[in-house]
Formats: sequence, C-alpha cells, structure tokens
Amino acid sequence: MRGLFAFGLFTLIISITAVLPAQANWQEIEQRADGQTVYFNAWAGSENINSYIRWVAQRVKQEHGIELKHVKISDTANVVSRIIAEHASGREQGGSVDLLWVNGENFRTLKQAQLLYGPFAELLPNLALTDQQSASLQYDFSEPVAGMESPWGGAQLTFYYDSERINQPPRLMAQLLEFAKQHPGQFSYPAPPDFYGTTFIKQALWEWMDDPALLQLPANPERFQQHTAALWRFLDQLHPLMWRAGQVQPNGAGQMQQLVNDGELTLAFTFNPNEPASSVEQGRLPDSVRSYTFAGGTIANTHFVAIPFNSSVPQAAMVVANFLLSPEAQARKADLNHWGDPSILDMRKLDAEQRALFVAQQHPAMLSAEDRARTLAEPHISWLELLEAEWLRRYGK
Amino acid sequence: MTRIDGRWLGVFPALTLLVMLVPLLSGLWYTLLPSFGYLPSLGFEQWSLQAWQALFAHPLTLQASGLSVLSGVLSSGLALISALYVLSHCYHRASWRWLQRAFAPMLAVPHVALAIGLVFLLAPSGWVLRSLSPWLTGFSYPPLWQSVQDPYGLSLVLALWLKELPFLLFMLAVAAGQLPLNASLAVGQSLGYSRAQVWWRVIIPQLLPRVRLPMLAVLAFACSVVDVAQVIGPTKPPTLAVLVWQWFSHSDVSFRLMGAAGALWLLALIGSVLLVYLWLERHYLRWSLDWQLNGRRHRPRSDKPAGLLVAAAMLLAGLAMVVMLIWSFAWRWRFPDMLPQTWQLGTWQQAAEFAYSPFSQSLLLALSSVLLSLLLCIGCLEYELHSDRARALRWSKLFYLPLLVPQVAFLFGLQVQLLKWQLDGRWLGVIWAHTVFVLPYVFLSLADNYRGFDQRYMQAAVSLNHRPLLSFVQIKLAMLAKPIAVAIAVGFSVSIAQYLPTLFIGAGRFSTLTTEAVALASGGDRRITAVMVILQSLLPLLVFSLAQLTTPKRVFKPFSWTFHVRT
Repeated sequence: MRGLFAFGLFTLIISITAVLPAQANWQEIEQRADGQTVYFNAWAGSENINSYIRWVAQRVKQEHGIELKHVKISDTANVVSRIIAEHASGREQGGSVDLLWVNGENFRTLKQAQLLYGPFAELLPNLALTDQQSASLQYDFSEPVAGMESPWGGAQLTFYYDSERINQPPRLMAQLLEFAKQHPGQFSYPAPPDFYGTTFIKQALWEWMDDPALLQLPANPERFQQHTAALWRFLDQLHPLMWRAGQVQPNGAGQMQQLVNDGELTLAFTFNPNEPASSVEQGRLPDSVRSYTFAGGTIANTHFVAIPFNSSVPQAAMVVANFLLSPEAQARKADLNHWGDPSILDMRKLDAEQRALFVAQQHPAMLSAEDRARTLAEPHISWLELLEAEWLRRYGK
Repeated sequence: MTRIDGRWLGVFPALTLLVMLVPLLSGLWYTLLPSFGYLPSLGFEQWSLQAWQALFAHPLTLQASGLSVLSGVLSSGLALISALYVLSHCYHRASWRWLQRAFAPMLAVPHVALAIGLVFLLAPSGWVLRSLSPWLTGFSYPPLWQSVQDPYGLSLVLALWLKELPFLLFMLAVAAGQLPLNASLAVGQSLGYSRAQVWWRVIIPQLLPRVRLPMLAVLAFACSVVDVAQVIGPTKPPTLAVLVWQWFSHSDVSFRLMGAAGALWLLALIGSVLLVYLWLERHYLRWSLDWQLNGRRHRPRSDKPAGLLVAAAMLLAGLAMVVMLIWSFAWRWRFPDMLPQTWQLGTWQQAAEFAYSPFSQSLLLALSSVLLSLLLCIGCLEYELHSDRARALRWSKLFYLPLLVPQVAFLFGLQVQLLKWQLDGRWLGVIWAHTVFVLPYVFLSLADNYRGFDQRYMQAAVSLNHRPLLSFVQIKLAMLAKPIAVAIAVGFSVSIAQYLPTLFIGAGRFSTLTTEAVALASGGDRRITAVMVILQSLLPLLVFSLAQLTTPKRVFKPFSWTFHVRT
C-alpha cells in the first residue's frame, strides 16, 4: 500500500515536473525565492494571528531572504473578488496577491475559475509531515484539493460557555432550544453567508436530518425542502429566543466572543478549538469559560494557503507555505500564548527532536481529547448555496 | 495679474476635471455594463435584464432601500435643522468662539471611529449601562435591549447626525461670513424682531442656497455610507449600500451583476432624494412667505436649549472617545464594572510593534492627496478671477460629483479600469483615488473665503513690487492662511477616513490606520480596536489643532475668515 502511494506520488511529481519543468527542484526554488517579496493576504481580525505572521516574516527573512508582507484583510471574499478583477482586466502577471489564506467556498471559486497557481503542494518537502491520506487534507469542503493549496491548520466547530452562568451546556440541537427557552437572548449565531453562520446551519441540519449521510452527496434541489423541513422548524422556534430577538445577529466569531466577554451571550462558538483557551489567557474571555463539542460530533475542516495564478513570485510563496508547515512554525502556532491554532502535522511522522518542539498544552478552557476526536466532515458544497438562499428567504428580514 | 497672464491657468480646471471625472465616469460605465449582464471576463456575455429582475425579486432589496433613504434623510434633515437652530442662537455670541473650538475635533474624528465609540458607549453592555449597573438598574448582566444596530436604523441616524452637525455648522459659518449679517441683524432688531427671528426670516433663506452643495453631499453620503452602517447600522436587512457591498464581495461572482444593478438603483434613489431636496429648498421660501411676513414680533428666546443641544452632542462624542481610551488600557473589563478590573499597557506596546507603517502610509497618502487637491483648487480659483465668473462657477460644480455618487456605484468599475492601466496597488493610483474624494471637500471649504478675498490687496502689492508671484504668495496666500489651513485639515481628515478606495485601488497593499482599524474591528478584541481607532483619530485631530492655531498675517488685521464681509 505504502509502495503504491509512493508510486502515486512519484507519478504525480513526474506529471508536475512535466508541467513545471523549471521548478521541480526544491533547491532551485529556494534559490529563486531569495530576495523576493511575498504579499500574504490573510484575515487580520485577531492581533495574536497578526503577531504570529510577523514572527513568520522574521523567520523567512532570516532563513530564506524573503520579504513577507502581511496584507491585512477583513474578508477573504474581497480578495477573491480582486483576483477575479485582475483576471478580468488581463493581468496575467504581477498580480497583487502572492499567497492567500483560504478554504471552502473561496477556494472553490478560485479553483474552478482556474485562478490558482499549481499544483504545487506536493513540491513542498514539509507536506510529507502531514497525513496526506486524510480526507480533510484531500478535500476542502468536498472540492478536491489536488495540490492547488497547502494545508496550514485544522479547525473544528467548538462551542464554549460561561460556566459561571450555566452548569450543563446543551450538547444536542434540541437541548440548545431548551437552553434558549430558559435563557432567552443568551445565544446567537452570525447570519449566513457569514462562514460561521453557515457552519452552524450545516451543523444543525446534520442533527435534524433523518439521514445525515445524504449530506456527503450532492444536494437534490427537488427534495431539499423535505430534507430541511425539521431544520427550519427548529430555527423558527430558536430565532425569537436569540440575542436581540434574532433581529440582529453578530457579524462573526469575533463579535460573538466579545459578547460572551460582555456577558450579553452565555454560549457561543468558534472554529479554532483552542481559541477559547488562548482568549482566556490573553484577557479576551473570562476565566470561567469552558469549551466542548456536541454529542454527535461537530463539523471539522482544514484551512489552507494558496497561490493565485498571477503571482510574480510563486517560488517565494511556496517557500513560505513550506515554512508554515515546518514543525517549528506549527509548534509556535499551536502554542496558546501565541496563536493557539492546532497543528496540522501528523505527530507520528515527526522525529523526537521535532516532537519536543510541541509543548504539552493544558488549559481548563481547552477542548477535551474525546471532544476533539468527535468530528464530522463538511457537507457537500452544493448544500451550501441552497441553504444560504433558503435561509435568506426565511430569515433575511 | 492681468487677464493675459491668467490664460495659462486654464490648465488647472482642465486637469482637475480630468482627475475628477475620468475615474467617476469610467467607474460608472463598468458598473453599468455588468448590470445588464455584460461582464465578459467572468464569462457573462449575454445582455439581459436578469440582474435587475434578481435585484427586485431579492427579499431584502425594498426594505434595505427604505432603510437607506430613511436613515440618510432623517440624519441629514435633523443635522441641518439643528445646525441652523444652533447658528441662529449662538453665531457671533460669547459662546461662538468656544463652540467653534469644541466642534473642530468632532469634525476631525473619522466617521467610523465615532461610530465604534458610540457602540462602546450605548450598547446594552456599553459604558453608560456599566456606570448605572447594578446600583441603579439592578442589572448584573446586560439587558436584552437594542440600543445599537436597532432594526429601524435609529442608532445609525444618531451616529450620522453627530458627525454631520459639526460639518454643516462649519459650512454654514463659512457661508454666513459672506453675508452682511451685522447689518441685517441691526435692521431686524431695530424693527423689533428678535435675533432668532431675523435669522429665520432674513438670513437663513439666504444661507440655504449657499450651503446647497454641502447639504447635497451630506445627504448622498448618509444614504450611501458603508463603513459606519456596518458598525452601527441595522443588519436584517442592512442598508442598501451595505447589501450592495456584500453582493460585490460575495465569493460567488454572479452576485456581482446584481451588485452592479443594486449600486445603480442606490444611485437612482439618491438622485431622487437630492432632487426632492432641491425642490424643497426652492419652494421653501414661497411656502413660508405668509409666516415670514406675518409681522409678529417675539421677545428673544433663551439660548439655553441651543447650548444644551450642543452640549449633549459634544458630551456624547466626548464620552465615545473617553471610553475608547479606557478600553485601550484595559486588560479585563466585564459588565457591570464601571472601570476595568485590571489594566495594562500591553495593547499599546503591541500596537507600537506594527503601527509605524500604517501610520506613515496614512500620513503620506493624506499629505500628497491634500497638497495635490490644494494646488488644483487654488489654480482653479485663480482661473476664475481671470475668466468669465459665471461660466467658471458652473463648471466648478462638476467637482462635487464624486460626493453625490455613492462610492459603491463606481469603485468596483474604477478598480477594473485602474487594473487595465496597471495603476492599482501603486502610490499614484491610491493618491489619485483619495484626491477624487479629498478635492471636493478642499474646494468646498476654501472656495467661499477665497472668492471673498479683496483682490485690491493684490493690485496694490503688484503695483508696488511688479512681482505677481511673490505678491501672490506673500500677500494673498498669507492673508488666506487660515482658510487654507482649515481646508487642509478638512481634506486631511477626509483622506485619513477613506476605507473602500484605499482597499480597492490599493489592492490591499496599502495598509492605513483606517484599513487596520476596520480589519481589527472584525475580530473580537475591543482593546486593540480601541488603540487603532485612537491612532486613526489622532492624526486629523493634530492637523485640525494646527489649523486652529494658524493665524493670518497680522499686518492685515481687518481680514479674518469668519468675520469677513464682502466689500
């Protein structure tokens, strides 16, 4: 099996070599990367992430002579729009984006419009330290990754609550409704098409569907209403019991966190399982916060970095992507005092020295190992559009 | 300078029109085409009305349109009425100098900074309730109120009103400086009318046409603002401008067609609002004639309500800034504590690590766009002196077009255009985009004072030294130092506050204090947002204080920018 895989990888590399003959050799890539400037477009809503990226910039400068510039963005969709606009005006080279933090819908848009450089991920030496067989690295929201983006971190829908205000948080959607009845106004979720909002809807659908396995298949528009009827019944009941009676919804995970810190919400969720812990450490959440997942598991996925088709420095962008996958960078990323984003590396593939970089993390607000193991795959991407449109029709006003 | 000398000055209006109109028109053109289904680069080549049909079939469009118009009209209308009210009671009285000084900082602070501050202040978990809880309200957790982001957009109206009031007061004061106020007041009062009565019957009907353009700009801005509405406006549905912005930035590119249609629909709505305002302004006098001439005399009413209104506005803005300052030093600050439990300097230290580059980029962008605007404006105004005045006045109105057209209606199109010219992500492109918005405000705040300059000073100077350029700098510019300084300050704060143009035309490569502040505001850390917002407000505040300190050349005492009476 292993041999077969190696053979597969070999053929893949051969085929890539055929496509990108000049760049197959990693050393050569590193040489060409020296002195290049990389514009890294990454969501910048969190100072600990920004500060982590500043550290990455220092390191790649030292190691590879690369100038890494963090282009601070508030919404990745805007960058996708920009890349599309560049393509629209015939900018085939010298694009404004060299590296992009991306996943899901935005990745699919770029990939299907053929606006990405690659495949390049298999060229990165450090990719071998990840579990390349895992579905979450092969598919990004059911879209085949196919080497067009390189993994950066793992994410899992993680709920957290203020244990000063409730003892037993809801672990089923039905319990969530009970919770909302007892504590009106203390829960909410961002309105789709916000990424966090759609994830919550997908999570709820998973629990309310008779046969959740269907979510892995393309959605059938004709039977969509039937499949989602229970979900809408649930939301119909939930909305009036939410924060500000559901007439305003938070604009994202950031605002939800702020609202928990303010005491307006008791229960909220995020996509980084370590975020509640690192936020407690950094004074953004009260000490009494605890995190958990739902009984049947929660949706998990991977976030990636990709290189747009018109980057003029793909070599340097690849070197940065490779550095992001290094044990050194992943260990610092996982550290609660820095970012606290879980490592994407497969610990079994690291040697003792590399493993030692990862300090064992203990924090009362951290997700337990059992909860961390209970993951659900992202539904097929075709569900997203239907869910968003129907949600908007029902609750947009 | 003689007529012949001035002919080359025609370069300035030509250049200015080019700078202003090329981006606007090409931007609009590339918004118009996609709204009819034509966006070939994305594979849309079928001309159709689908985007328009989708726009009006969209469940949120109508309500969002209503919200945009309502919040825009309400805030601008209230701002105009309250500014006139304050002016009629306070102008040139003891409190006026103090009031001008106090309003200057409010003029300087970027809109979005004020909006964020108001949210920190007025939200159910905001500072007001923290101060009153639990001892007065009994709340140990924030109540379930909708005091910000309310579905009717009232908190949005409050934020816009708070920002527009000082701007309109400022523009009204400039315009009032051009009228023979003392004479009108003396005559009116000798006939037994109260001061306020003279204002409403004689002066305000003359003032309204003079502030027509600022008022139109305020109306258009309030109906189409994106960043403020995102912070403090309603969300279900949001205002139309926010909705259009969401469509434009949706990762499903087919939404761009509907976005283009929505942007043009917003443009049409704003056009109708402006027309209605013009119509009202024109007919106001006729309708109020009976009342104007009813001959009733009132005893002077107390100035206190006007003072109270001003005090309330300033208190609100002041507290919004103070709460920001407290947050920037907080470590942990939970409801219902009035002050943080623990304090820290860490957020400022963190900011010091990275704030240098956005700080310097903001400064550089603002300085270059303001200086460019100033150069063009002064050139155009000089040209006016040497050409047919009536004709000049007509074309200079075109400068204001970018203020009347919503940013979302042409920025996306403009981006496509600049990409073609390879000007995106470059200094030149971003400075250009800033100038499009800075220049009208510089022109607006400079033109009246500049035109009011008594040209005989120049004639006297040139006849003495025969050196027009030297006289121009040493006499005219020196005497106009105050209005020029104020125009610089206004333009500076406009440039600092630009969000969408910096982001789009700068291809994200230009990080300014505003783009940083908005990016951080999307996260969950109020402390770092507060730091960035303070930094963002600091630069324009500084420039405004400098402008306040500027005094015209002492030798020519009779001239002063607000007291000037046309001779």
